[in-house]
Amino acid sequence: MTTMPSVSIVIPTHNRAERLEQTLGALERQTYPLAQMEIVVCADGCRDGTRALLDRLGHLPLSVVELPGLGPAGARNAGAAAARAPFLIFLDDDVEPLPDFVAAHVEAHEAQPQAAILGPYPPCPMASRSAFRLGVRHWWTQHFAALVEPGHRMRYTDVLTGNLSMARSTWDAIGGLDPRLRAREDYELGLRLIEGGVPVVVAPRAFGHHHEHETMLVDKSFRRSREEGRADILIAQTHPQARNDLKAVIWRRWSSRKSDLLDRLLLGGGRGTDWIMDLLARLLPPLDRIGFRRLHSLLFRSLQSYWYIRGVGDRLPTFRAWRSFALEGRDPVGKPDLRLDLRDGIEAAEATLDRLRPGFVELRYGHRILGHLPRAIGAEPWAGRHLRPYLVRHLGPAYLRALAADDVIVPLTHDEFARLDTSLGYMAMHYGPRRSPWTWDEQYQQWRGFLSAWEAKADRRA
Amino acid sequence: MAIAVLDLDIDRLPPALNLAAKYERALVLLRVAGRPAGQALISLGTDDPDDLQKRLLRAADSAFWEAWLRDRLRVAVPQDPPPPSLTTTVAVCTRDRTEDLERCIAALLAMPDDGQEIIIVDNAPATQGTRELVARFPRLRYVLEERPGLDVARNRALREARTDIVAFTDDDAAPDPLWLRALAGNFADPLVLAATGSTMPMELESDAQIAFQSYGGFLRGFKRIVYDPFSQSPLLGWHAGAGVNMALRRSVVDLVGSFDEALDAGTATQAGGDSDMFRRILAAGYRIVYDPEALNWHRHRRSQAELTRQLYGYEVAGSAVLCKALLYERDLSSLTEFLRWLRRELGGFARAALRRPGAAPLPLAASRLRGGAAGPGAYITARRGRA
Repeated sequence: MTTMPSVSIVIPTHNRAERLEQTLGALERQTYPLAQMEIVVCADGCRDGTRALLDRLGHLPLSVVELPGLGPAGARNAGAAAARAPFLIFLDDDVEPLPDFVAAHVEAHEAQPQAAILGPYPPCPMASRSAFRLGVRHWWTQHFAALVEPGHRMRYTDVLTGNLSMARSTWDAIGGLDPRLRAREDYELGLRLIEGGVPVVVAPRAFGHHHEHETMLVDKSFRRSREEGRADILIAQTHPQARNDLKAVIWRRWSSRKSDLLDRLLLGGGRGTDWIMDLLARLLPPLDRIGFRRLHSLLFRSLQSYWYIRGVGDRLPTFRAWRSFALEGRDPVGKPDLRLDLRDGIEAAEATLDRLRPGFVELRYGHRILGHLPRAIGAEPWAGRHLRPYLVRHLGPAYLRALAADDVIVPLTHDEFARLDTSLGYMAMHYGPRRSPWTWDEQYQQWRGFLSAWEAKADRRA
Repeated sequence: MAIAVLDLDIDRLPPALNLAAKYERALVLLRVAGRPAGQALISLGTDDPDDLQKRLLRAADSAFWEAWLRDRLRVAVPQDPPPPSLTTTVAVCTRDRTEDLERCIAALLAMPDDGQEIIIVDNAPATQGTRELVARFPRLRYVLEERPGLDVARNRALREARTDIVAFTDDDAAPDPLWLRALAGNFADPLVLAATGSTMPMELESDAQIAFQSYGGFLRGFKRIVYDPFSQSPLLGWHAGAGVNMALRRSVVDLVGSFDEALDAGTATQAGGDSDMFRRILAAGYRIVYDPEALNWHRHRRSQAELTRQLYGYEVAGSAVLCKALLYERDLSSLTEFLRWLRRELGGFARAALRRPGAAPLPLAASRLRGGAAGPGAYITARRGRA
């Protein structure tokens, strides 16, 4: 390794030698020249054969950082510090990149050198009968599907560190990850990236398969819930502006007297109730086996909540502390930064959004208020490309009614408009995506209304 | 009181409809940019095309308006599906219904030729009619399956086919020219083992046909839905569609097994082969996509007696599949599903008996209950008969 690498790939790992070997193998098969890469493996508290594996792979441009068990955030920071290239790609040890992976990251970086680049790593396609597996698979699938929807507005919760790249200068300027966090460290990084004005973009071809089915297991998910509880409190303390988005805060604000009592007991129970939850967790597999899916999911979610509350309790030892923490500093929604009149044309509105990049917009059509492009915590400011998809998805009926009133859909008499407006109002109840079993609800209503109107007409004639 | 069935593009409305005088109403499949988008029920007034457009807009459903808005705002504009990247076969299972089959074949031959194979499975025929009809078209492959049963014929089609995807339709249907392409386009996700599409009535000439369609028919709305076992109970897999309009990845045979030959037409259970397949696909952790752009037209049963028999058959099949899941796969949730069914049907029966508005006719409600009660016995008998 005499020449300076152009890209450093930072992989934190913890006792997953077999999985790591697959990932390193996939890096060896990249279209991007291996000679220009540096692979920084952060072996964080590894006690399996990781060291031996890395010794065996001497032909790879590896540099190994051995760590005592700092957790993923600390390991990535250490990896980044040891990396020599001006461009960093963070990759998880359970993500198997496709051959184009590095090239696609580099290409996206060259197109937008100041941006942070997210690559998708949806679950490796794997069928499963387990309700837990299906839930994990669903979460990951949805997460990456949403990122590539037209007009997606990037938020801090979109940022994950399993497949992320940016210039080392960006990384240094932002200060890396918060090493105190053992969960949600990626969200916290996303918050600082987006609020710091770093563009976050998606490179669809920087693709990896996530072998979550091997690495995300039930026990671990409960441990993780607890870490999330701890992390949320820490994030809220560091970034008060994000508080309104965190479960620990939302729960307390919207809780009922009953749930207050329960949360108080759980928070106070501490170690004393853990064994009960461990026993209850043993019911999960049999419930799944006999097909009691709803009960399974109810119990699973309850246990997750329990461990999350335990995590909150690690930071805020009393219920009183939790409540006052959650209730302080509620900020009002405020006034829109901008009013846009779509009657002046969509293109004009898009240009204005691109020029001003507002956080909160009121949309009008003439004197009609259509709705808002809402303010959101840790979200990129609104841009022109967000507008049309947002209109179609969220404001369709209001926009259609405004267009109808303006004779844009079809020229109408006053009477005809009133009738179209009424029917658009009914249609609005079914607008948007539908889930089973409501898929044929609208057609059923159409038929009932049509047939009964016809019968009434026939009666009048008779 | 017949209802005309029309297929109209909102931007290419004909100057005049020229319908027979008996039609005072119409069910319209609405297209936007040439793609199926939604439906409207209208009464036919004057022949003024301007008036027709306004009637359609007033009666259009939400899916149509979403497609209209996407088209006008140029957000994901509706587009014709491209030729499939996977190889495809169309299979039609039939028995002695040459008049219907001829129409079906004409529709299949009107599809763009992407190299798909078309197999006609002649299932335990009484006459030579089907063989002779198919012989007239060199593009078709004739397969004789002597053992009776729709699921037997479907399994034969899966064995005969050599392609990635096998699309099924019925002899009394006539698919849209881009039906197969639209179905095949949903298999890019390797976890998708089945795709289904929207099915509209070919005609609404009789009260029985109108009744069947007005309670949903084979239509599952005009919005694309991915059925994932995370959010869809396998026992409700039949929500995804029906055998008249479905395509399977052929590897489904190895991954979840072939069609259950103790189910569906030709056995005591009368139906349910398709919904049992959907159930097993979801239960094994795979996905089904309902894509309304894969459009098919079906001629519903014309007489009331046929319709009553069909609805009775659906209930037999519904509880037969639940019984199968419970007894042979130890799925206890089918028991709760059965109780839910019982509560719903008893409620329906009570409303019918009290002549509440909107309730089904009493004989129909009674026959549905009887059908549900007969299902388990029918399945056990059919299964023993096959063993």
